[in-house]
Order: sequence, then C-alpha cells, then structure tokens
Amino acid sequence: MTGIKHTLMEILDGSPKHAISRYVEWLITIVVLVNCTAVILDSVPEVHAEFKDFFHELEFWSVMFFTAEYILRVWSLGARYTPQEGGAWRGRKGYIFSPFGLIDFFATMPHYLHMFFPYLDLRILRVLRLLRILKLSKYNTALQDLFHAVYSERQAFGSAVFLLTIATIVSASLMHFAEGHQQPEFFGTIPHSIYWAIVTITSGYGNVEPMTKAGEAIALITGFLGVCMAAIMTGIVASAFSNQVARKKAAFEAQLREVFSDGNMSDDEQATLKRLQAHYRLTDEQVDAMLQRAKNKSSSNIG
Amino acid sequence: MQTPTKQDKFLEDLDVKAILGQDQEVHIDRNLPMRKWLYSWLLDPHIPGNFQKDLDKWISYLIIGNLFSLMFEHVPAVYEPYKTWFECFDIFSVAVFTIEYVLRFYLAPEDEEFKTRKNARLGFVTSPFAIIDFLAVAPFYLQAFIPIDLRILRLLRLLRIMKLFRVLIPAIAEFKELNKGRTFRQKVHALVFPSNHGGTMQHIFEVFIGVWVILSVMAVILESVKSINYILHLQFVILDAVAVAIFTVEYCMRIYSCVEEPGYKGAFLGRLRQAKNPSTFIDFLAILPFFLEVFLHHLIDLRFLRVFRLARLLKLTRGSDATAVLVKVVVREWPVMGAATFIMMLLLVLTASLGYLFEYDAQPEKFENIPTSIYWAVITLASVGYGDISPVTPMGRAMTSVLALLGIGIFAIPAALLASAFSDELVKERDQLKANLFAILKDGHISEAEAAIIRAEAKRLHLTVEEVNKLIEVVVKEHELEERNPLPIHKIAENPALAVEHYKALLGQIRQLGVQTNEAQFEAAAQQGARLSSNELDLWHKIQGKA
Repeated sequence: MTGIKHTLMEILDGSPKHAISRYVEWLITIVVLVNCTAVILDSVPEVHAEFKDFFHELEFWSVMFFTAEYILRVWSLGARYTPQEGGAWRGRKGYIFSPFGLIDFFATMPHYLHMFFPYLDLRILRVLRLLRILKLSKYNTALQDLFHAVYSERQAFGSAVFLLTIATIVSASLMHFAEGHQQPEFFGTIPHSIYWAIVTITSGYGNVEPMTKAGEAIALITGFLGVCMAAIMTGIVASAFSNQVARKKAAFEAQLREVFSDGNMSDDEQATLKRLQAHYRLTDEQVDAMLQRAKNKSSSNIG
Repeated sequence: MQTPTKQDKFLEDLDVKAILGQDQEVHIDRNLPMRKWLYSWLLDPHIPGNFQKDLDKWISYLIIGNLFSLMFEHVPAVYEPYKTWFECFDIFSVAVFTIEYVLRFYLAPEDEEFKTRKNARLGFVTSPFAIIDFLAVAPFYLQAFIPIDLRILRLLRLLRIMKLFRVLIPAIAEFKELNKGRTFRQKVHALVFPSNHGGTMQHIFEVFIGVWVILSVMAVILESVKSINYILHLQFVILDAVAVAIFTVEYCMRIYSCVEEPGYKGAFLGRLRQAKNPSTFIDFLAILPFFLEVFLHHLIDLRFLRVFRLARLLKLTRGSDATAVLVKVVVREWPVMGAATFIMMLLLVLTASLGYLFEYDAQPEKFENIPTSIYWAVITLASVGYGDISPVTPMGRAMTSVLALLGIGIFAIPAALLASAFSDELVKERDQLKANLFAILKDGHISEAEAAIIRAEAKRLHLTVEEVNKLIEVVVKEHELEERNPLPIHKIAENPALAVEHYKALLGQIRQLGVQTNEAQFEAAAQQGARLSSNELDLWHKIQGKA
C-alpha cells in the first residue's frame, strides 16, 4: 500500500521517473482548458440556451474528476514524510495549505456550494470556476519565474511604482481642480480623477475628455507621462526577465561543469540534466552550446 | 611600456574601407580635360565608385515609370483628369533622355568602343543603342513640326522600353561568360539562386520578381476600392494573370533547378525538401489561390481566397535576413515566450472574469458575457484603449486601475524578451565574426579571399566601417595578449615581476568571484561536506576583505 501511495505521489508530482506522469499532466491541462472554454462560452445566452445540458454534464464530470484528483493528492502526499519526520499528516497539511492546494480546493468547491446553497449568484460561481485556470500554473513555473524576476528587481520596481504613484496623484488632483466644476460626474472627487489618470496613463479609453484649456494641458502631460512610464516598466521587466534567464543558464552551466569534471556522464547525471533543462526552459540548441563550452573547458584543464 | 608593436603598425596600415568596398574614394584627376573628366565620372564602367552604375539605375527606373504612364494613358478615366501631369511627366522624361543622348554623343570620342573609329561620333550615332535612344525621343520633337497620329506616337514611345537593353545586354553577356560550358539546369540555377555564377543577371531577376510582387500587391489593395475597380477591372485581371504566370514560372524554375543547390540533392527527395522550405512554400502560397479558383470555381465560391494574394508580399522577405533572425530568435526563446504567454493568459482571464462580475449588473449590454469581457480585457491590458467598453461601477474601476497597471508590466514581457534575445543574437554573431577575424589575422595579413569573407559578413550583419575597424582592433589586441600571456608557470616564476603580475591577476579573479557569488550560499557550500578547510575559508575572507 505504501508503495502505491509513494508511486502515486511521484506521478502526481510530475516526477520524470514515471513516463505516465507526463500524460497525467497533459490530461489535467486539457480538462482545465476545456472547462475554462466551456465557462466562457456558457456565459453567452444563445450558446447557453442551446448546449445547456451538455455544459451541465461537463461541469458535473469535471468536478468529479477534480474531486478525485484532490482526494488522491491529499491521500498520496501522506507518503512524503516518514513517521520520524512528522508522519503522514505533515505532508498532507503542507499541501492543503499551500497556494496550489488552496487553488485546487477552490476550483472544485463552488459546485458543492451550489448544491447546498442553490440561491447563490450564478455569476460568482462562474467566475470562481474560471479560477480553475490557475491550476495550470502548477505545471508551469512561469509565474514563479515572474515573481523571482520581480523580487530580484524589487528596488527598481519600487521606484517605478513610486514615480507612477506621484504622477497619478499629481495629475489626478490637478485635473480635479481644473475640471471638477465643469464635469463633476468625472472629476468631482479625487478618487474619480485618479481612475481617469490611471486609465489615461495605461490605456486611454478616451471617453472622458477635458473641457478647459488647463485640463487639456494636464491631459497632454499625463499622456506623455504614460508613454514614459510604459517605457520604464518595459525596461525594468526586460532586464529583470533576462537576468532571471541568465541566472538559470549560469546555474545549469555550473551543473554541466560539475558533471563534466569527472570526465564522463552517467545515465543518472544525464537524467538530472534533462530534468533541469526542462525546468530551466532551455532549448536543445542552447544546451548544446553550453555542452560544447563545458567540454572545451574540461579538456583545456586537463591539457 | 607602450612601444609601437608590429600590431600597431599593422593596424595603421590596414584600410578597412578598401576591404569592405564601401565609400571608395574615386581618384579622378581634376586637371583632366573636360571631356575626359566628364566621361570618367559619368560613363566609364571601369572606375569603381563613379556615377555610371547610379546613372544606369535611375535611367532604368525612369523607363519603367514611362511604361506605366503609357499604360495608364490608355484608360480615359485616369487620363482625362490628370492630363497635365501625364504631359509634364512625358516632357520631363524626354528632357532627361535628350540630355543623356546629347551627353553620350558629346563623350563618344572617349568611349572604348568608338575610340578606334575615324569618326567616333558617327560610329556612335549608327550604333544600335544610339538608334534606340534616338527613336525614344525623336517623335516628341517631330510632333512639334508635323502633326502625327497620337496612336503612332504612343507606339513609338513604347520603343523607350528598348532602352533597357543597354543594361540588359552586358548583363546577359556576363551571365553567358560565367556559365560557359555548364548544363541548362545549372544555368537556371545560377539565374534563380544566388551563387557565384549569377552575376548581375541574378540581381536583375530578383529585382524583376520584386517589382511584380509590389505591383500585384498594389493591384490587390486598389481592387478593393470600388470606384477604382470599376474603371480598371480589366487591367487588374490581366495584371493578376501575368503576375501569376511569372510567379508560376519562377516557382517551376526553382523546383527544377534546386537539385543543384548544396543540401538538396536527390531528384525527388531534394525537390520535396526544397518545396517544404519556408521561402519556397511562400512562393507556392503566392500562386495557389489563383489555380484553386480556376479549377474549383464551379464547386465552391472561392473568391474569399483572393485576400490571400496579399501573402505575395512575403515573397519579398527572401532576400532579407531580418526575418530569418526573427524566426531563429523566436524559436530559440520559445520556452520562455510560452511562459510569458501563459502569464498573459492568466491575467487576461482574471481581468475578464472580474470585469464581468462587477459590471454585468450596471451595463449588461456592454459586459454581456465573458467573451465580450475578454475583448475588453485585451483592449485595456494591451493599452489600446478604444473606450467602446469601459467600467462604470466603483469596484470595476478600482479593479481596472490595478489590473491595467499590472497589464503594462506583463504585456511588456514578450517585447522585452524579444528585444534582449535580438541583442543576444547580434552579440553572438559578432563573436562569431570576431573568431573568424582571429583566424584570418593569425598570419598577419589579409588576402583577397579573406577580404571577401569579411565583406560578406559585414554586409550580413550591417556593420559600419568603424565597427569593423573596432572589431579588428580588439582582435589584434587579444592576439597580442595571447602571444604574451600563456606562459607555463615555471616560466612566470623565473621572472619576479611577471610572477607578481600573475599573482595580482589571480587575486583579481578571486575577488571577482567573491563579488559575483552569493555570499551566504558560498559559505554554506564551502562548509557542507568540508569542501574548504577552515584555513582556506579564512584566506577567502581575507581576500574579500571581511576577516
């Protein structure tokens, strides 16, 4: 029994040891994507009228699927720690209260909520069901990458956000004083003006237009600031992300060097490298280049 | 210490401009007799860098322009309103052609072809090219004295196209010379694919195809304007048919002769591989809609396929390597791009669903369902901001403010990735060129073949003379260093000054390591499994200045 539990844990964890874990990942991804598409289409009244029953069936079976997945995960994670390390419930608790565990829970819960409280607003349920797309992030380290990148450049981000805040507040309050009497419905309060300022800086809907000369001048400057802010943001994100990629490459290359230092590559090491390559999102071409470099280095060290 | 070494002298003597064949200084003596001087500047084909090539080029463009104006004059709806403009253009081109003719007449005694004749100018006037040139302008002057039928006049103006032979005939002669004794297939290959046997003719072929691509795309665009299509419908149909015919012939030539291309050997498999090649596949797509429509029009209405004729524009990408670099970069960065796209998708779904949640009650006609909401989310997050749908509730507005700000950052990731990948690619290619230069400069001089390699690379990477100069300088300096540096340890040890320098360099490396590594992790790694003894660790601290 423990053996099965352990294997199941590894499969659900996406360990490369078992070939089947890839297919499990794919299956979950497909079910999630189908679900999200269905929720989106279901919100169109015409489609809803036609395929109501189908969507209902789909929802029922996918909730069953996700419930089974959740239960299996909780059960199998009991095998993560030996009794000496804290027992079965340490691993289970760790999963249940991890972000992924919470996402998994909230992805399935709305259906049962609806069963018990049938008078809940349907739209809230729909939106909660859409959150299932977050389940995908488990198989994709992109979000982690982004957080790491932002975290490592937090100072630059902090100053950019500071600049942005100042720009927003200054242009919003100026606009409030310039146009507050002319268009009280848009600039009557400073929060209203702040909304206008942010929209102008980011996307600029153009449904609120200044009427006074002073307002026009402020709008002009705000629009210009928007371009600058976008450029700053792009620059910071660009450098953060490319630094992140560079760090990963360096880590991988260090691993490669280590593998090469003893002069041969065992099967185990090869498997490790393959896993790392997938984890760090490196293409074969990049790995080949690094391999070549590592080889040259090691041969020059020997010679 | 700084003494001019042989490398410095080498750098001084090096003329990169000459190697790259750019902006060559033309050495034409100012004290030459007027006629000789003019001839050297304008018509002598043997002096590189003078205006002979440019002159030929611009005259050719003018001839093609004439051809078009002649074509449009036949359409009364176009001709009548713009009559004056057509006449002005005709007068302008006649003036240019007359000046050209007079110039050639005046300079004939300098020309190699007529120099040996007793009467050089008579020889010029009776030469075939000159007769064509004369016929191209003569009717215009004749018309001033005797009334000529407009139609004959136009017919005579059509002769102007013959002027193109002045460029074409030498090119054909050169092509024949280059392909002496080669098979027919090899000749076709030389014409269609860039190779050493192509010469000017291959260039002309590419320009010809390019002109037809632009023409047919312009025709497709103008066709969609109802009022123009009404007037020129027949012309458009003819133009399209001719374009398809030309492209089909080109495609057949490519498929037929690609076997000569290295890497595409094999009568069937090689051709199949060529057909699968992206640029050849584009060629196929460019002609496909026409044939589909011709053969299947009685089965299904395929007129919508006509829009895909615009894909012909992609044919122009064959010559440029910008697209190749783009594709390469995208393919290489694909995993990271995929990750960025995934994050964008997450943000999109989040924004759309929240927008739907908050705004449906307030404006059900705008946020009517999640697909519409997704449209709104894309327009907002990508900072397009049409403003046809916008939130009105306080919650919706607050949410939009926050997510729009996030959107700038997240939607910037792909752009940022591409930008950095592009510059990476550039750096990599430059490193490659540097390595090449290193090999080339090893023997201390640049031969003609090596200069050709540098020229080709510099052209491909769009490097200016200064950049190449700098690269060469760096390579030479590195070369110098390499000659000096890799002494075995015992050699360095013999010379105390060198030994001190070597020690300093090593220390510098250790310090750099200390700056770049993560301190805590380094310590942890050092202590784990006792990789470093405590003495060694102390030494490390000392070198890092943290003892």
